Amino acid sequence: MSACSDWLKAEAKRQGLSLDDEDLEVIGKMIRRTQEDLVKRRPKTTEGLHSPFCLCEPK
Amino acid sequence: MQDLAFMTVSKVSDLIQKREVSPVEITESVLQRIDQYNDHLKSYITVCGELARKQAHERERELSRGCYRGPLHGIPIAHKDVLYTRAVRTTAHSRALDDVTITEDAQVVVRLEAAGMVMLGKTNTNEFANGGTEHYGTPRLPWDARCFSGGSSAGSANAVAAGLAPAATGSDTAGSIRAPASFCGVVGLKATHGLVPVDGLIPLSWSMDYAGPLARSVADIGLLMDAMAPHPKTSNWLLADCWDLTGMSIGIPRQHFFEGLDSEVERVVRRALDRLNLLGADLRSVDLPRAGDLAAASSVILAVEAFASHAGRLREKGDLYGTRARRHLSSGAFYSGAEYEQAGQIRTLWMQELAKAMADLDLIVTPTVSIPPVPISVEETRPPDTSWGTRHFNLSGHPAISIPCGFTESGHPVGLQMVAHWHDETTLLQAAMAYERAFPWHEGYLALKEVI
Repeated sequence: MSACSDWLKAEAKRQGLSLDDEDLEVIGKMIRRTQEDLVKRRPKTTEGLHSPFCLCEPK
Repeated sequence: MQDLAFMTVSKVSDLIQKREVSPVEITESVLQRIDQYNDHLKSYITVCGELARKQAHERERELSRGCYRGPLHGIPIAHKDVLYTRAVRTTAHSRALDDVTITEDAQVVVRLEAAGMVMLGKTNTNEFANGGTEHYGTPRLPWDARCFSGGSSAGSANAVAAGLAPAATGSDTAGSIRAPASFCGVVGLKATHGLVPVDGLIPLSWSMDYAGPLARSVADIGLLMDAMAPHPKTSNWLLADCWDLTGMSIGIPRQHFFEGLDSEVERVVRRALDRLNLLGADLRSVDLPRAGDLAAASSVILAVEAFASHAGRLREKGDLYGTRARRHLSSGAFYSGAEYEQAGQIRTLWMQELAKAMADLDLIVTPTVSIPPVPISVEETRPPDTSWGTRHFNLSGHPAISIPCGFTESGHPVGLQMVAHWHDETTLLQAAMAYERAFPWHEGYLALKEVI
């Protein structure tokens, strides 16, 4: 099992989730793909840029 | 009798008000259709025929006493099975809710019942509006039973199209009302964030969840909205019949929404844009360069918020979830706080960009879904991204509607998505109504009387 899978397994245990190796493999692939995409899209300038805490009409 | 099952809410309403049709007649007509086709279409997880008959008789007695609750009096409706109901079991297409007792109805159920509607049952959905369909079967497309009709309000949409409900409720976290409405050839609305109450809707993503209506015409959607979330000033969302789009500015995005479309979907949607022009709309190209940047951000937000909501139940009885739901809903446990915030920042930038682009526009118009419906085997093994053109407005909070705009050569319906400013459902519904009055693709479902 790779280091990444070991981390997923440990994190699942810490979170109290009963996920087997197959579950973790699929989840691992899913989140790695999303994380890689997120890295490409993340904003360059972040100061003052907040996540909308409570969704309201954009101005 | 079966013709009644295919009438719009507006038409049945008119007949009930004139006492030409009774609530019992329309309810029996639809129940008969459900009895005939539900095993095939997998529209409902639970049908509550006895309760529906009881409610229909009560509505009829009210009418004979001179008590008329309004345009929805005595009209049957189906509720997506992620809305809690006391009188009928709520499964969310999951075994994880088997022993849960519900003590309160969802707020939209309360409001629609107060308006006089009769509950037919609970419609099929992906598990918790996010997983698979292994427990109660996969809802089928009435136009082509080899295909999936969703998701995730797949049962609601196929029931409305196939005469198994004149109207239905749905929920939409990334497009789950609009995509099945598009596939099934019916109308589906996701209103402005916060307008339709989500109390009693099993949460998936608190910041992206919406409850909303599916029906056979824009006028029907207006009537349902009047009960689900009355207009704060006028009580009615559709104030007048609308026949043209003169003076209306409509933005057509240059980026993302028209890229990589299935060729048949593109042909149908491009023709619909020409027709908006014919109706007098001023069509303008608009730049939305961030529109293609949102897949990861919406996935992270949805996954983290879904895990936050499901964590307790996943810990206690994760084994009762289906495989796909367990994996999807657990995945949010593995993203970092930094990633959730980065996703939120991308969302903020998108909201700012969209607000700027819409400043001089009344509407934005896009295809609802980029692809035609997929075979059930594909949905069950490698489901496609049907939120490709819809999640944008769950993230931004703008109201968006899908209306039928034609058929592919294979005979599959195609939906056109219209998006308006926050709280401008009236403009949205009026524009959608003008389009459907001029080009009545929404009446295509009538062919299903013979097709199924």
